[in-house]
Amino acid sequence: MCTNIVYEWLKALQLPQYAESFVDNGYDDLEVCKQIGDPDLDAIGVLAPAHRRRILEAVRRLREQDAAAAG
Amino acid sequence: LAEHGSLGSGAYRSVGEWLEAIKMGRYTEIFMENGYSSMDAVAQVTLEDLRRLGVTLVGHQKKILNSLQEVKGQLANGMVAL
Repeated sequence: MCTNIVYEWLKALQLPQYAESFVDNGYDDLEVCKQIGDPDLDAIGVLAPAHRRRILEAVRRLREQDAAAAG
Repeated sequence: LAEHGSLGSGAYRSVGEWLEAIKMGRYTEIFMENGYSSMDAVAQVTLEDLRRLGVTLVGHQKKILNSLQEVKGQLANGMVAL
């Protein structure tokens, strides 16, 4: 369970401790992670402001990669 | 009797039991209050229904709909008592 893509992504962000909670809440691939905003982080239980910022920045990068690939 | 559950899905006796099993127990009351009070009623739920019920988090929508696919397969196979 902890070898999935979301775990790898969180590990790269140095936040692997949230992987289980991401997966438990249905955020188990990067497509669904692209749609993460503040309410999602509330449900997952990412409370530390620095961690939230780091994840939201990474979500924005995922979306930008998408836009670049589409364009 | 439905004793299979090799996927950890098993057969659910109630909506509450099903939602607890997929860690979505917080929605049990909302489902019950809106008429989705049995597994056969829940099997008809769509993404639109979830949004209307206030399940707005995409991860939770995904988790519930994925689980429903399994539940529907079991209903079709007669593994779940209605």
